[in-house]
Amino acid sequence: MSSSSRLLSFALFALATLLLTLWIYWPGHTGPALLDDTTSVLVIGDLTGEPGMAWDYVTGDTSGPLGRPVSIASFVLERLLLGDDLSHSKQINIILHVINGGLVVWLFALLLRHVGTTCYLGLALALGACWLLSPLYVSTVLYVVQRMAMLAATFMLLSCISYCYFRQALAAGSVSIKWLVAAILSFVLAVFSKENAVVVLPIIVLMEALWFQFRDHKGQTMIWLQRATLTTMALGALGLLFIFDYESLAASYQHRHFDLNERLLTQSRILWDYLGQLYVPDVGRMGLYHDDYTVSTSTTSPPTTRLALVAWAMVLGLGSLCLIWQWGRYLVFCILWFIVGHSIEGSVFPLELYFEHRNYFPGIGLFLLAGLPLAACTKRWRETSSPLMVLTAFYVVWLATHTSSLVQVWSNHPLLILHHLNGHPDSFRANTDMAVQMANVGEFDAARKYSERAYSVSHSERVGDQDIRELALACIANEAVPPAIFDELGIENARRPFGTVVTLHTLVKLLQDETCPEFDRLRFANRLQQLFLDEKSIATASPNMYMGFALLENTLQRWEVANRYIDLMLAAAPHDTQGLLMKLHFVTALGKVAAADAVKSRLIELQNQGKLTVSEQQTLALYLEN
Amino acid sequence: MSPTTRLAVLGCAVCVFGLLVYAPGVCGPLMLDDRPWLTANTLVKIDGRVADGWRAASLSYDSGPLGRPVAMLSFAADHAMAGGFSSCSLKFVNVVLHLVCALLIYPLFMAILTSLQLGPSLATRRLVALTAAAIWFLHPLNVSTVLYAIQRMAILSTLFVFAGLALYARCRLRWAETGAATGQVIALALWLIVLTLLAVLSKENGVLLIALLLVLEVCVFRGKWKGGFNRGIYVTACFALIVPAIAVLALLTAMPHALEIGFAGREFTLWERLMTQGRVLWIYLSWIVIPDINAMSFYHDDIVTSTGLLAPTTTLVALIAWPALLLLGWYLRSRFPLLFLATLFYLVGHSMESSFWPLEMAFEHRNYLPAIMVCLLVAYLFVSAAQRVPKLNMAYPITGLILVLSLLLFVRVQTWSDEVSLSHASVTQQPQSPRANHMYANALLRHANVQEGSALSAQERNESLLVSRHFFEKMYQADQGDVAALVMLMYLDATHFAQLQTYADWLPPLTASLQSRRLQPTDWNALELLFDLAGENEHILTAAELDDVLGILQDRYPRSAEILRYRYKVRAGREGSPDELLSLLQQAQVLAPNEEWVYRLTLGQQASVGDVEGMYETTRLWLLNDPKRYHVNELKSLFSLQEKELKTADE
Repeated sequence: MSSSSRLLSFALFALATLLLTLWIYWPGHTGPALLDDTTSVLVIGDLTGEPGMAWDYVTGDTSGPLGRPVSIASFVLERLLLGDDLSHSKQINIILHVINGGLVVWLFALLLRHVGTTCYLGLALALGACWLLSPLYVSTVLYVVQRMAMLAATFMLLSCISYCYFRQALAAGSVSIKWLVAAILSFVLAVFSKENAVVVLPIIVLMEALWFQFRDHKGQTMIWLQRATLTTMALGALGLLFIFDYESLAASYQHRHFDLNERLLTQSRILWDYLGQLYVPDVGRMGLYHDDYTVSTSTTSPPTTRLALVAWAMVLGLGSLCLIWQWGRYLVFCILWFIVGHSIEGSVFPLELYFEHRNYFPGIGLFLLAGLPLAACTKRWRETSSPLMVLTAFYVVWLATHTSSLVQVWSNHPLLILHHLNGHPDSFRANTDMAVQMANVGEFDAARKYSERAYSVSHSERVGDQDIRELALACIANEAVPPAIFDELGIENARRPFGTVVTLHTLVKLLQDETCPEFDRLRFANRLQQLFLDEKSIATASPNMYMGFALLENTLQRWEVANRYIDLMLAAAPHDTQGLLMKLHFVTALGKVAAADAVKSRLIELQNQGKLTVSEQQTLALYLEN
Repeated sequence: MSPTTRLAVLGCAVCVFGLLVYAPGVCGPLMLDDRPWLTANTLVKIDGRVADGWRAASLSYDSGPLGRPVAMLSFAADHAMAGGFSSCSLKFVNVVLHLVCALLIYPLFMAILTSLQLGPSLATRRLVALTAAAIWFLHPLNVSTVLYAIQRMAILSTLFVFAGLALYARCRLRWAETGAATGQVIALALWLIVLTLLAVLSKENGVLLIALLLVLEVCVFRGKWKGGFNRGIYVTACFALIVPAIAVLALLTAMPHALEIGFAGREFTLWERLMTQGRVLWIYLSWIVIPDINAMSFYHDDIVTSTGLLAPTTTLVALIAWPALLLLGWYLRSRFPLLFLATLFYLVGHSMESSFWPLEMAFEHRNYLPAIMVCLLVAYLFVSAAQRVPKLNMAYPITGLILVLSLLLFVRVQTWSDEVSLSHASVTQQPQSPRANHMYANALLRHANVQEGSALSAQERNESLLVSRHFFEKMYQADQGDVAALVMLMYLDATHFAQLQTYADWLPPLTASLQSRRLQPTDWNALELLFDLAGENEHILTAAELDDVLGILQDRYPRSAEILRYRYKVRAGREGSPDELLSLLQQAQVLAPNEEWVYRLTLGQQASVGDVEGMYETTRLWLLNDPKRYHVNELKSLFSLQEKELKTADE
């Protein structure tokens, strides 16, 4: 076959693969909004009237330390151009996944061509298709907010691809500034999409050390490059040692039901689980909720912890041994791609234990790893390339069947809820979701049953939070709440009766919207007032919780009480601009001119410091005009 | 015209002629297993727009251990393209696939003949190969495979086996002279794995490809390598072929119980099956060599089961004759290698379906694959004999042979073009076959019922019904415990021949049969029909009588969810209370958590009483007990429907 016909057939197969992926994923666009979608995506309002507020959203996200402006900008653009239909967001995610699949194939082709595989294009496509159609990524692609992880991966892949081209030129003796700039620019965009994209830097360094192995196009070692790379690696390792502070990290786990050591032990198991789910998927367990994952409290509890640790030790040993051989170094690179890819979210930081989307970028390394024996085989025996491609295609089809069924599950909210509940019967979130669903269809008793189950499997939920949730469920189901329920609120954990802000805010929102006419809002508000504002009260709450109470009182037009809640909130968070604006609203409503002027001057001061968003400035302007 | 061109023209003519001969049968009836797996299988009836529909369709055959997804996918494609199942499109594809199979065996035969250096010239070898392929293509025995839609599974599996054999033979022929590089050998092995997978995923006995490759190696290529003899290859092939056979024999001797377990639901034992198969294989062989279409039929359940080596006496003869023939073939392997090849290939080809598995005794489609080497042997003998006749133009005997076969094929295809004619032919050819009788009686009954709204005269309709009843009664006379016959007689008398009810009460023999008979799948089907009909029609059985029948069944099969389903149907048809109906379904769910009907009926029942919580729980359990997510699309549409209803209610 001539090279042009080979290219043509590759292009046709590649197009078919991408279209197949699109076809399989497309039904997923009808799926629901989930978890952080509400706080990061759905919070973006209609911008067509006020496009100036777009900047607020782009710079105002607090999901990560850098604010993820690139990802948020994509959501904002989408709102501006396509409107606020969630299905558009999912469609864009699906298209982005297909684009990422194309980039993975491109990167694989560059890497495999370097190792001298004759049918590198076909192999790259086959391995890329495995990645593209892996069912583990359904929860990334169809969970809108994970656009952040996907966009980060897009730019990380572009960064890697640019480096490959830069490296090609370097091997031929020229320095290609344009590819270097492209690599750096992509890196910056990746980091501003999601912070953990920073792992692409060590991955590129490892790519140089273990894949390109400092060779030029004649196979000679470029000594300066070798020294520069090894020095970078050494400096990186020293830097990590320097900034690693066990005590402060351990302290940051106070809100988790596990500590730093337990997290590390558990992650050793979770990484194996991810690996298994990538190669031999068990779709029944897949989903968004893994909060029921058993924490490893020691090396023997559960016993698989020890096994996992021993297996990693063996990987370390065998990997070290493999460094002797050229193909062994390729192998180590693939493994390290996976491990380094998980080094932010799967290591010392006090994040939740398990999320499938964390594999979106690291998984690429595992599929490249699976392709290495094939690459070696086709390099040595060219005739084997076609049957091996066909056999890989069988595997791709097998993965695709899992993905397509999972997409169907994700395309329908009740079905997804039931799937989560079946796969994770001990998940707090799965049970809570089911409770809400039951309330939505008017089955309050069933909703309470699942709410109680959620409480019983929860690691840290307070009784008060369960009570608030059940009040919200009663409101959703429009059930009358017996007065005794209100009276019993906050009796347990008297000092800190409530801990979950989201549930309270949901309930307040429902009451604001008058979703449940049967609900005695006044009695509920009075009970909260009794708990938090009574002279003998010992109960306290977080600033956001106080804000929720204030919003409730605002709905009831009891501004005096609302003002007292906001005072409590501002005592804990004096620079909170939202709180200050609410304070301004309440004191103005109460006719307290002096107090209003004081708040206005404080807000003007903050505005001059550039700490007010556009919408906050607009709100403030309304008060200043009066 | 050169001899090559002449052969090519002859080949094309055979292909076109074969297709034309098959044409009248293409729009024939869909039968038996076509119904549960095709026309009544909602999962395979897709429009093709949703990707996951293809997945569910390909996994919708749960009778075989691997699900036969390749074959099911082809049926789904049929449905999606034709916009529904029509026997014409289903059978047309089967005929085309049959032709492809014939085209694949020609190069296989050529490679075999060349390797064995049979025939004085290349032209003769081509003639033999073409004749053999034509015999197989036009053989009337294959009609029951090609024109039985569901047997596409066997055709597809065979197609991939033929492709594998042809590929192996082609490579092996070349390597016998030149040898091969390691890469070439690995590549061939990988291709054979691909083809084996495709064959197995079409029908499980595609796994025979591996054994048949060994047969080719032992009988045809015999360790020839790089112009010499490679003992390693030859010994390994012999060893690999013999060891599994010895292993099975050892298993039969040491642990027969392990194999006997599957025979609990059959009317014959493991040993009876093995002994009978010795005779059945000879019967098959006779049909291949002498295509007597009067002996061929849809059913062969009238073949007498061998209960001992001398009962019937032909059993012993048959059992001795097979090893004798193999030994003769081995002895003559140098002088007449095709005998050994044909015998070994035939036996290995039958080793799955005609051995220790608890399958039914005989089906013609089982010969679809094993027959090819017999056809080659026959063709070789025929051409060799014809060539010995001085000055005979070879075109005449070969054309004559093809015409005779085509004529036989045409007659059989005609029979298969219509349900009544097919069943009539079956019952004429196999008058002792209970199934043939049942098939004909049923066909007549259906014919009469279909004609109910047509211009058919009342007299013709009554005649149909009378003949139908006659054949059901004939079945009953042959076997007074035959549940299918009793049920149909009960139905016919209650609905069409009320006056006969005073003369014949079919309930006592039915209850007696249910208490003692080892119920077969056909009996269960008949019972299903009985409860379907009787649930809504008190003329057939009263409520008390139905309870008695169900009670007998439940006492015999306390772990059967099916009986609970029957009871549910009867109760539902006669306005049972919702609680009682739900309780029956819940019991069934415990007994058969993987049966989708349990959930479908439970959901319907819960919906009728507005039990939303219960519906969610049932759906959750359905999803939980459907790990392959066959029904995820159905569940999705259920919720979509609910969402639409809620939206409408909101509006």
